[in-house]
Amino acid sequence: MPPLYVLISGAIGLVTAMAIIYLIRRDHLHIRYALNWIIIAIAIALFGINPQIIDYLSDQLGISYPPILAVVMAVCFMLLKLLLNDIQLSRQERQLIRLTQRLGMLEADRDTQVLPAGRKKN
Amino acid sequence: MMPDKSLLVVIPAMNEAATIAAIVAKLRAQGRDVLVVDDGSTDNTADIALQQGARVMPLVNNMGAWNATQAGIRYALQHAYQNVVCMDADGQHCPDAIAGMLNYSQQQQADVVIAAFPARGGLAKKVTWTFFKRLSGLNINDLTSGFRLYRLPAMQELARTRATMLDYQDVGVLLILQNAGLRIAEMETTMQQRRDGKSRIFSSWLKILYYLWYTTLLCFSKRTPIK
Repeated sequence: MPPLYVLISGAIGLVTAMAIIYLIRRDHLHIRYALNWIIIAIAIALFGINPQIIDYLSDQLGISYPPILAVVMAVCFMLLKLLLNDIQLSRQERQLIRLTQRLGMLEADRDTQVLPAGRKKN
Repeated sequence: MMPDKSLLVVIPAMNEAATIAAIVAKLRAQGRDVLVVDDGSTDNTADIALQQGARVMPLVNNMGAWNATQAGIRYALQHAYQNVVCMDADGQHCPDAIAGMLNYSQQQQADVVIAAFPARGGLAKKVTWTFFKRLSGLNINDLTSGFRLYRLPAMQELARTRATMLDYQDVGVLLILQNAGLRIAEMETTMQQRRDGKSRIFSSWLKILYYLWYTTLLCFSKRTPIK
């Protein structure tokens, strides 16, 4: 019977993976973003079942407190993801502005200028 | 004086019901085509502008003065205008100056004419503008005046997607124009007092700090042309 921590982290990894698949099926999460989360699910399962990997890596890198390596790796991963999010946000904002401008150009050209109803804030 | 029908006056406006009527009326009296870009006003700015004879471009989302202006420029290009004058809706800019700006641009062979106002503000402001003038490499004294004439080459440059992501219409816009090799001229004008007396961009210390940081980073990253 494997140690408890192996079972727990293995279970968490598995449940995460299943949750991602479910979210994709229901179109709550687009597949493009799911890749990020599947990697996390795999990492949880992998490092949970084999914590020796962290010990080995710490040894190689000269880190005296192995658990912090896992934390540092997680933080780096999150920072990178945040940056990618901001880049994505910038792109979408630009698209939204261009689109709104195009719509404005259309609406400015109506022969009878009737301003759209409900343009005031609620 | 025959009005120049190749010119569109673009006025970005958000909640300027108090002042918009007078400006539009004056411009229409000069026989000019006016486009008021309604940047998500919650008052009746757009209705008033329509009544006074302007065309109104209603924007679904508020996007700030620069993007609203850019929308007006895109409209102008679409409708084959050769010149755009953009001005504020708050009454500080005098429509009488427009004829002078057109003449000046011919004289100076300039693609852009900035109606420059005499240096105002205390020491802090003077230091700031000198700082940004140096940092941006722009040889322009009134960096922030929103009263400008853009001729066709400038209009085309500013309508591009690349010119979209700017929070302010001052340094960023001028850098784009300069990097495109366009000629920018400044013309001295007098300003009328801002009627309500409040600046939107510098309305709090937080906003001032944001502006300073934003413009500094802008200068560092966009100072030289992108190949």
